[in-house]
Amino acid sequence: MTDQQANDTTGSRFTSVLLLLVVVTVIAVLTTWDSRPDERSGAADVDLTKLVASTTKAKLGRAPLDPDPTGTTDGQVVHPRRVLPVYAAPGRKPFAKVTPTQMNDTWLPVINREAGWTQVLLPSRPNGSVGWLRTAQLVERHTPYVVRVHVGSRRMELVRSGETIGEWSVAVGAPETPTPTGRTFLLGSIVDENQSFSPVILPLGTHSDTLDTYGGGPGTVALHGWTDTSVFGQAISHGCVRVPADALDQLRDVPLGTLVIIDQQ
Amino acid sequence: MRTSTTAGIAGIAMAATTLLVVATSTASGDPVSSSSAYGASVGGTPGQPAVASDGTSTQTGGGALPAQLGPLASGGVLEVSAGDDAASAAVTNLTLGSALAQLPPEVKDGIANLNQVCTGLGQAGQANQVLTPINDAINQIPGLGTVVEVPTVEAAQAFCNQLVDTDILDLATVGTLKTQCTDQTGTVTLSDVKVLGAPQPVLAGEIAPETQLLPPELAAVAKITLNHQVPDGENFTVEGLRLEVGGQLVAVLASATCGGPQAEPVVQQAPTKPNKGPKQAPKPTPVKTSAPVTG
Repeated sequence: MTDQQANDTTGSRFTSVLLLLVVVTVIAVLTTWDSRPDERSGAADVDLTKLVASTTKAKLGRAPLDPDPTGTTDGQVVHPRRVLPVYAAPGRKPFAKVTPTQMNDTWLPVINREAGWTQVLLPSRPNGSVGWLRTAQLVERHTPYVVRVHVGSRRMELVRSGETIGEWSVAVGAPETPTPTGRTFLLGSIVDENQSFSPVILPLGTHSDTLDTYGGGPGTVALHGWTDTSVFGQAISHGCVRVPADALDQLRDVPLGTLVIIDQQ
Repeated sequence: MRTSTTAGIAGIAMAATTLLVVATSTASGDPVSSSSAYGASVGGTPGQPAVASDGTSTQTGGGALPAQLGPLASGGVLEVSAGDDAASAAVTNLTLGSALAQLPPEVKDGIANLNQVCTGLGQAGQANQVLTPINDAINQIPGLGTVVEVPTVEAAQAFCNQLVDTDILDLATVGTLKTQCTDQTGTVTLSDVKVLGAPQPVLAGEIAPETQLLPPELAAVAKITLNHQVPDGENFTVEGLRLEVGGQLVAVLASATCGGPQAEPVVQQAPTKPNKGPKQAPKPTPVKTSAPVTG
């Protein structure tokens, strides 16, 4: 056996053992967590384990709704450094939590601020869910971009620092599965071998209003490419916005958390 | 208790990598930078023990692993240090996988049953006499059946070879896991690593950044990252070991955060937010995952 083979064997063995360790650990953590109520708080008075994570799969019945679903912002986006509780209003009881990573690192658009608090859009149902986070535990960044999707004219604009830098004819949802309107954001940037219609898919923080599930997922709406270019300009999708390849190339540079404003124009 | 709580909150703030780097000057006028370090963080809770320094002096601390880590790790001794743009966090005499004693009875019984099935494999003749009982035994252990499948006789033998000679109470031991940062660089070193009691020289020394210990196809289930590095403006954080399950951070061991270069010391005044606002958010890097969308 060569040294390389020996190393590979050792690495494989160690990997297998670590997999078992992870399984054992997860089981142990999940099954013993509840027996130690005094040790599970993420903050002094918040039990994070009992809060549902605000992801694209979650439904947050107690989330407030976006007060200005067509408004723009100053472009600020935030990233939670750790698991954080989400509040309906500053100082009230939390109703959910956000995690530092979902598909990618989590970046959420800021729509309002108060002293020590930041209000963000959330990626969960119902569409337009918002919540407040404690500012002190957020990384703050800025995005100069806004994506505007006009369902009526079936066009998409990419705006940077207030100027439109690209405009394309796109495919939007068919009449029976329309693209939901309102203010949402770029949630992720993924390569999905099970969805071969686009080299990269950009899931948004919004969901189909007519499909509770689709393809095994929660009806997440996304921006993505499409192999058949004849679809552009048509209302033909199940809710996603299909964009030309050059549009997708530019969208790949846009930071997560960037606003995507979908209107009926 | 008020003092303790305040210190804890300060520790949280300093352990987080979002802290604003505050530059001060020593008596000689040399610029200094802040830094911080913590030993372990579980389930997103604040790291413990944590130390922080404004750069004018070196702060050190130590302690034992938090009780919540029991299922993951035990026996470790933590040492943390933070000074002028340099910080370190070390875990010594760490035992991983000492969780069995804390597992619920059905899991312990399931693993014992699996060991028995594996021991009897030598006498089994046909493939179905091997695969059916071992997969049944795997499926009886809550959580294991969803990630482990034994489709062939060879796979069954390989799986059992790992298991039957495994002292599962003591999967791995690490002499030292040490994380260090200086300015915008960081290192993670391991020493005296033993897996199932066997020394692992391959895993000794400096570990490359973002070393993944689990195969990519398991990324949606769990990720163990060694030497996770997080540049964040003028801050730079190195995490020695980072465990994520289902995309959620479960634990971090040995984290150190350093401030960036301080060419221009700030005149002594209350820190204020820069007028130019936050920096631009990063261009996203696509990740391989499955997330069905409406198409």
